[in-house]
Amino acid sequence: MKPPPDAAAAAVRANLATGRRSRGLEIGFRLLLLACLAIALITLAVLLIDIFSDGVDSLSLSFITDTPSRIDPSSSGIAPALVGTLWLMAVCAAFIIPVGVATAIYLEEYANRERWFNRFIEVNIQNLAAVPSIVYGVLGLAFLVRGPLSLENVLLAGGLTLGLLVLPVVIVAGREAIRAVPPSIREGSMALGATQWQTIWKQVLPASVPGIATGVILSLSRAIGETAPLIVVGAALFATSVPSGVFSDVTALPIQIFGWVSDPQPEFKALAAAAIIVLMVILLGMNAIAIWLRNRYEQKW
Amino acid sequence: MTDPEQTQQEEAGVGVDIQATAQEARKDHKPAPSVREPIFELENVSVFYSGKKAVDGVSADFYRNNITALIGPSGCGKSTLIRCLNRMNDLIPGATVEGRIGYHGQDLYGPEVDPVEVRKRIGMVFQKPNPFPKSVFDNIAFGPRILGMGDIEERVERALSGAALWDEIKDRLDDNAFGMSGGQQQRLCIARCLAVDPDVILMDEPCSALDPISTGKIEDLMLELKEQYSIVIVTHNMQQAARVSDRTAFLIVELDADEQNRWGRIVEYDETEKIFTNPSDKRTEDYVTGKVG
Repeated sequence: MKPPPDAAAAAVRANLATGRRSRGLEIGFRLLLLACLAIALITLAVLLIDIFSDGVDSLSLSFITDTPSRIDPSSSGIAPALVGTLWLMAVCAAFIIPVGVATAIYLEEYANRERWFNRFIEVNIQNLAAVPSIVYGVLGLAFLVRGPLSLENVLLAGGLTLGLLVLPVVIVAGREAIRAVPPSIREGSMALGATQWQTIWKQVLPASVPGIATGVILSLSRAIGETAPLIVVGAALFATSVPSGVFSDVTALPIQIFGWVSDPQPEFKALAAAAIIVLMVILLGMNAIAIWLRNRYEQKW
Repeated sequence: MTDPEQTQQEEAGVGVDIQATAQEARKDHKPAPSVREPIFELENVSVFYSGKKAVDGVSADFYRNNITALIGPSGCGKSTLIRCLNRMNDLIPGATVEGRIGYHGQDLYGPEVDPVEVRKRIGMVFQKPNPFPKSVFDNIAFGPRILGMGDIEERVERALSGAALWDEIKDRLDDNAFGMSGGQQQRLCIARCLAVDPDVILMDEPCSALDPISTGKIEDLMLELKEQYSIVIVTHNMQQAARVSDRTAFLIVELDADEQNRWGRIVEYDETEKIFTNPSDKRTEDYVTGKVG
């Protein structure tokens, strides 16, 4: 016997209505997530606004072109530090691009995964990326500044140390980019009579350039902000002249910022904030270029 | 509640259909050359992947200017076998080949043979079209460029004409190959193959990813190409084999005693007409009439 229509409808209505309790949980959960997002964003906003308000007054063209002065904050500038940072990035890039890409190619295209030796390398590259940066500073001090290469504390040593620091990131990014090239492309190339090297050089690498470039830019933007390894390597906290080559004294924006922040005079703290703004503009610019590169040239297979 | 007689008639009907299609399609064929010169001579060829047998004891001769079809159910080793013919299985670690594959009389797996040289002469078209992420022109020119061939522009035009693609694409040579339709991409891959002047073209299920119209175009293309090249094709589509091929090899999957391992072997290899109208082996007949998958 079917239940009378009113009771059935009422039963259905009742079932629909009980959903309202779980609606509350849904809304509550969303609000919680939004709150977490807000905390992150507000913290970032407060940081940026604080820096900006402290430092914006000190920003000027002379700020960028002057050398720093120990005594007179008003005539201090970041020229040596800025140029030093650019030099360090150049040395770093010149090291990580060939070495990182070659390593990625070897690991992806040539190494036999079955051998324990290659698996060992693979696992440890991930570990290297997690090593604290100051350890790389000590490594640089021992082997580049002193020890076998004895470069002394020059930009070349600083740049190579930063290069060693971010090399694992480039290798991992390079491997991801190379791995993303589907095997069908390699097969198509080999089936035409190309050697493995021709296939890599003319098909696989060109297709992975956007991914590799993104990885390199992100690595450089990490390297640019590292302070600890440079201090250990012997960076000058106070540079008097703009670096002229790879054998000049090591100096960089983060070091300069560190030096000014440590100074008791309050005017130097304003200078430090201004230098931070310059550094952040460079960083954001590099990251924006990396994102643009990835979006524009990303290959959808 | 099925009527056994009715079922048998239906099954026979399916078989008759294929045979009729085959005979219909072959009416316009040029006959295969009367003098048969073998291109490939397979003698007791077995293929193993890391010790596990995939193909067992294949012996067959494939002839010049023929289209030879390999048909059979899934997993019977057709793709494995065809990939041996241009040493593409070398790219798979652990793949080994026993027996002898003679190419124009020379042992394809001989110690002094360079697989790269082999692949210059024996080209391959794959199941899923795989154009390079470059322009149409650069796709076709890639082979000639790396092999150091001259007259690149002329080669590209000849290759695209040979693949029946020139008229459609001659104004769009600089467009990215990924923008083309599936059928066009596959013809691009065929043109890419032709650009290096191969001797043999291997096709591993070239139409299975394509719509029927593109499939028809490529089948017509195959019939034109066989006058200049020798073609070996793997196909899941029996009607396709009946339509285009001169000779057909039928392979099956065999299980060993304790049903742990399976491998493929040739059951029958003969003129296509015979395979589809009057096969010698019952297993072949069951397959081509659709009684077994």
